[in-house]
Amino acid sequence: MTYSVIDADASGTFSGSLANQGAGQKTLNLRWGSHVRSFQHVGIGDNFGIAGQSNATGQGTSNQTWSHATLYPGLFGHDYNWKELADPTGDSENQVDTVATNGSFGGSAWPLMATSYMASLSRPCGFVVCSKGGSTIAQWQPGADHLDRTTLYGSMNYRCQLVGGVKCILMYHGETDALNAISQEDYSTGATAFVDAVWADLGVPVLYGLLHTISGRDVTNVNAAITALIAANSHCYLGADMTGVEPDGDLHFTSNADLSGFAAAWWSSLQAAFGWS
Amino acid sequence: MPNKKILANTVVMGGAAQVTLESYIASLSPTFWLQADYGQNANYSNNDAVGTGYDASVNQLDVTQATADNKPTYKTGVLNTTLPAFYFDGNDSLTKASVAGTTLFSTNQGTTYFVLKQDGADANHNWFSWLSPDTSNGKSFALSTNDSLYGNFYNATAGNGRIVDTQPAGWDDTWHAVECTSKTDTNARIVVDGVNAVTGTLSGTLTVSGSSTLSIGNQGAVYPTGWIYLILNFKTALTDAQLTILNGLIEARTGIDIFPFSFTLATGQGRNMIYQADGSDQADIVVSGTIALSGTNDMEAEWA
Repeated sequence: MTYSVIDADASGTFSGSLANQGAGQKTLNLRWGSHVRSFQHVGIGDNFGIAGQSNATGQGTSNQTWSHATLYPGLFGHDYNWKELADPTGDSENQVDTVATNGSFGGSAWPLMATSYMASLSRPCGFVVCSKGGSTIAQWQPGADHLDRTTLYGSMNYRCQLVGGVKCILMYHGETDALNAISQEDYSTGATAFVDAVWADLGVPVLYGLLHTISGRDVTNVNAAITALIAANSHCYLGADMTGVEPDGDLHFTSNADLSGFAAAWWSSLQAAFGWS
Repeated sequence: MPNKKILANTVVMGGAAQVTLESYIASLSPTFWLQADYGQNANYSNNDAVGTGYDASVNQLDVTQATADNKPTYKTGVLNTTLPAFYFDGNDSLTKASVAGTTLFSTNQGTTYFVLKQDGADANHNWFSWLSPDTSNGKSFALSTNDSLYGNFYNATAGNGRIVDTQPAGWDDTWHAVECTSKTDTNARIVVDGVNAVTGTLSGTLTVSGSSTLSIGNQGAVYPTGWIYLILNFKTALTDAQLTILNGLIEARTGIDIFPFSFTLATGQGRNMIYQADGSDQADIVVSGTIALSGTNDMEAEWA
């Protein structure tokens, strides 16, 4: 434990930094004279922005939990507060950006994915959940102002910038457009614009999931558009590949087994995209 | 030793006038002011049963207890060696009936300030409460209940008038200075020893019309076990500048180490602060803030 002077002879105000700290999670101590204060669980790790629909928000019957001996994953909630990651991650209590208010939310894949991430990389991670149940790809288009928080895109973009950036956007989307029998071309146009805007605004890629099988909805066009987008756009990677999966909840990943599989698919996609083992 | 220019019970303001804790509190015009060693409360002796807690505000809302077994006990020499406090044994309370809401509160802002200590991990510590006559909402502070700090600024429904979070480490059996503030911009906070412990936003307003009972240590026949040195209530939210001075005076009086500098990090803030790791998995932890006390020291940091 070694203190570094971040602002010599400080009086009235102070500012400074601890530069080039490695990834991990520790306690930040500030000392001014004999006054010391500690701030626990200050982490350097990866934030993940979550976009899409209800399955991204989480519709599990049971809340899921993360586990690690020492690390604490974070959640930047809809209330714009950092907190320890806990389901329901899509909780709309004290929702700030009402455009992304979810009518229902439950257990999600994110605590389970966090467990895999932390076990593998030994660093904390954070989630910025911006998804909106029932949203169409048209609703995820940026407005003239890409930070317009009355739009789903603007709200996501704003929040991801507010927290200092994200590693990537995890997008699981298209269930509603499939219900509406959207054409591959139309979905591709919207998805491409979304990916391009994310890259322009946040400088990070989108990991785009492929939809599972849903009764009464043909996901063929949506998945074909996403597959083509991944192949053509260097800023889009394959996200959770749920092709052909038939969840216990049909439309939603509701059972523990559903969510476990969904989380595993996301973690596999991150490993592939970023070379994490 | 800290390079503080604070003398016992005084603080230097602008390098000129010195004020005492009491004179400064008076200048802030509290609507309720219960202090163990001030006003008529100072006339109590060690182990006296407290039938009346005298309010030193202009409102003189003295809180009372008629039942002998339910009276708090006055104890001397329990805070910072010499200071007295009211001890509530888990069955005690002080109340004042028919207190007009408009006397105590504004509809959309205010600060309530405590110097208190909870005994052990006792479950329920609702130290201050006033419910609106129609019981639709009210203001109450449970510090703590079931190991969480509750700030009910308007009503008790989370997401409307309540903020709540886990009590900070070191809460039990330790004296704390606790500031509970709601502002007109809807932001609310519970600050323990100068550090944000609970933050959130509120919706709605406090119903202040009519009169109701002001309770110290009793809401719904739930009683705390612990100590009160000071309770202050203000109709308006104290400013950061006012709180800086008040905290300095409280620290000088009580010995409670109140965080003398506030800080923010360049990126998100909360129990977990996560920085995006760059390609080399390194990041800068950027900190800035203000120092409440006079004097000069190196500001140092470690991440360990």
